[in-house]
Amino acid sequence: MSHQEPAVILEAARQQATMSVVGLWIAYVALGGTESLAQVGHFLAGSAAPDAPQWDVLAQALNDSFVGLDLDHPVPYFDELGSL
Amino acid sequence: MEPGEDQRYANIPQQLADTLTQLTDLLLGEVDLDAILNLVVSSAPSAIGAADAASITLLKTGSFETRHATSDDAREVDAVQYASGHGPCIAAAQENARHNVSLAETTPDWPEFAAAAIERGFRGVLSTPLAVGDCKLGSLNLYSRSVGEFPPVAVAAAQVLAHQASVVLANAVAYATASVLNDQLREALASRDVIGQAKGILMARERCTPDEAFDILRRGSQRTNHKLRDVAQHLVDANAASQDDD
Repeated sequence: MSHQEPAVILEAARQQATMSVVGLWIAYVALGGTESLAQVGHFLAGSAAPDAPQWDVLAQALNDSFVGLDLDHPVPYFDELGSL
Repeated sequence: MEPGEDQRYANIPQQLADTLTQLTDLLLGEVDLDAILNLVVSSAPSAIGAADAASITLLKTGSFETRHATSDDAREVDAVQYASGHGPCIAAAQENARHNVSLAETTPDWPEFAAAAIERGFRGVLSTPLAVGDCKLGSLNLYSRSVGEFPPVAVAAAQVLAHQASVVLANAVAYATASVLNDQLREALASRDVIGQAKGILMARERCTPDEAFDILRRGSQRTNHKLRDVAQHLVDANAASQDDD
């Protein structure tokens, strides 16, 4: 996933997890995410960028969906983005 | 229309009105999708006239399904279309366009369907799309043993019934989707509560901010390869147990 825009990372992971945008938003809300469904859609489309805490909640929502699939937290957290 | 045939259609306005009234009276939440489909299919032959059998084709992410039919013949002829990949019911659903076909004429586009329908004594089929705007739901299919092409009065009745049925179906699907979303959000709030408790415990214990508490939880999730909710639940349970010990 190196050199990819952050939004592309999220959207690619969402598709890999076969989660709908609504499904991702619900998982994000369950973890404490505070942005609206529309705003999460903007994050995925790249028309808005989440701050570090909201990125980490979104990344965690996606990573949780990979638990049990032998994919250990493939979505980077915010402090890992700079190293990609 | 042949002499005497007009009598066959004389009751259409009343039958159609009765069916539309029943559809309008349906209360979403009290009836499910199958009840709506059953009402439409079972009332279609009398409400439309000339039809000896009826079925509904539902479009489901690229595949087709007959959920209700008034006879095995109609269900079987539908199935032949799904197996061969073409026929008036599929075409009506996919193209959002009516197909009124006399089987006495050659139907080169749908040879498997035509053979199966004629074998079962059908002479005509009228497939009317079920759709709301750009949303394609399927088709309402009428089979006749007495007429080839359905007359204009039957076509008009089928169009009215299909349109009303489409609106009710679309509302039923939207209602069902909203119900599922409601359940998912209820579960999400329960999970959020557990995570909130875990964050509170960590904030008190580590004297950290909410974001830092979440960071501790997600690192625990990453380290153990467990879902964050499970990590949070474990922390909450352990904290409760330690308080009981005290």
